[in-house]
Amino acid sequence: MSTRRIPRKRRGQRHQFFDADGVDEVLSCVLRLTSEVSALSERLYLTERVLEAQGLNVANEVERYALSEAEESALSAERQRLIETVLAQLGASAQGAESIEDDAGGPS
Amino acid sequence: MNRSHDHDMAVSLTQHDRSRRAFVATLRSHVLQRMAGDLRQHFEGTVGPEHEKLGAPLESPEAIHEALKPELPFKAYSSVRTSAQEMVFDVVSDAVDRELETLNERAAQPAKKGSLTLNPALPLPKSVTGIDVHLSPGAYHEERADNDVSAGAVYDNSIDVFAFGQFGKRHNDIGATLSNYLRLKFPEFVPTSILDCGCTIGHNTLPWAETYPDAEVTAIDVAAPVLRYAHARAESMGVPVDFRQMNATAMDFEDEQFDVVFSSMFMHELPLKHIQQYLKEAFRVLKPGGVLWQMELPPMNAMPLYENFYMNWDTYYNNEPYYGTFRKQDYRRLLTDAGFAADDFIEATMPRYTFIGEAAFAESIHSDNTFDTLTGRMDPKGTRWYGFGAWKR
Ligand SMILES: C[S@@+](CC[C@H](N)C(=O)[O-])C[C@H]1O[C@@H](n2cnc3c(N)ncnc32)[C@H](O)[C@@H]1O
Repeated sequence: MSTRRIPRKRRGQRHQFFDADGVDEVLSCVLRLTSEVSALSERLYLTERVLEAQGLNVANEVERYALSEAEESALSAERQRLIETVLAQLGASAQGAESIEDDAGGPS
Repeated sequence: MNRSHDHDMAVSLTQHDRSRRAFVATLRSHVLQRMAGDLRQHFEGTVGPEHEKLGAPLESPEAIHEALKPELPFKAYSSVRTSAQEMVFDVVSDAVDRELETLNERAAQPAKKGSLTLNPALPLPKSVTGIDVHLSPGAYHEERADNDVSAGAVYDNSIDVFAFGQFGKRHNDIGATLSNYLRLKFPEFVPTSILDCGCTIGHNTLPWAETYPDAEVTAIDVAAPVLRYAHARAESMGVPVDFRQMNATAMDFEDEQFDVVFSSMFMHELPLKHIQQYLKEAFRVLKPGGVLWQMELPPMNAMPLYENFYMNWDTYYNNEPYYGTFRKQDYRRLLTDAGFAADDFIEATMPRYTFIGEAAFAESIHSDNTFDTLTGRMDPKGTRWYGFGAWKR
């Protein structure tokens, strides 16, 4: 048997608690997004502390930094992962997300 | 890189994994404390009194449920709790996926202390395969590779997030609490053979081998992936346990083989018919003079009205379809129907052994049972376990 990915969606319908359609799902998206934002700001905090310990002023360097093509595509892949995570309950498929990558330019 | 646990079946956690896990654990604790508190207050301060004024007081858990359904605090609690539950499995699956092949190879190492006996021909009950219990995709049994442990790895990691430390450092507090309760309360009873039914990853099995080092400890479950993981985890911790794939409703054991038969958080995941079959089997495999114990949700008839509504949430919304029916049973009656004598029924509420330590625990075993908002429930403020069972004459 070849190894399969652990499914991220359970079988069966989600319960609807709010009267209007979609509110529960949107709330789920918001919470997932918040977890990503939380992880991100923790990482940024850690990064800044690490760099500070090396005597680097991060803010200036970030503004001047030029991304390579490889870096841009790595960031693009990360953006795609983020979208899939945030939209997981709405069933956004991998195909849907691929076209986003195709259309997207690099970070501006 | 950080490891998820202090045993060889641990996975590596990136900073991103750790941050997301911490977030979901915090979110769950927020829901179970703050949002649950708001909900209770809304009931006690507003919805309850309003119904009383109308001369139609809410006197059953079902009536409370119906009255709260349209209310914002209920919708918000339920919706966020559902999302948080889904996120538990989501955030832990990434690390397991990354290392699954290594984990599966590691689990296939030859045993040094205990054993693993699988039975690929064993039919799995629909109660296990038919639903993704407590919203975990693929639950306990789904196989995703040869010699797969993924369900076990997801379970071990999910407890870290789900229980935010409330199950003890090695997720073993229930097993440690019950085994030490028996040791301290019945010092003349020294079991030499112990059986855990529905052991999952053996987290509550291992403490028995520590509490009674001379006893042979056996643990059964129907699901192979969790058993493979349980075995590898126990081997890596150096604790000898024989893990066997078996249905607790029809065990392969001889009559009168065990001094202790116990289960932890097992019965409430069984349909009532299977509960009855399991208890008959437990009675059969117990030696005379042996004891049966179930660590479980407290029975409906012992708990305050609002708690019964609150606990039933899982049966409606968390894919725990058998939980409500189980709690409605007269537990003593379940045991007498299985062959135990009514006079031999025992039940107890217990503080958590690994949290309060030997001395305070030893003192607590003489106090009366307490059924309140912390009994049998996961709460950031703590938990008091509930168990019941019977001696076999
Ligand atoms: C909630 S888990 C038990 C958790 C664990 N004992 C603890 O202390 O946290 C329920 C377990 O029972 C197993 N199970 C369900 N039905 C069973 C049956 N009829 N016989 C044996 N195991 C069963 C499931 O595969 C699952 O691993």
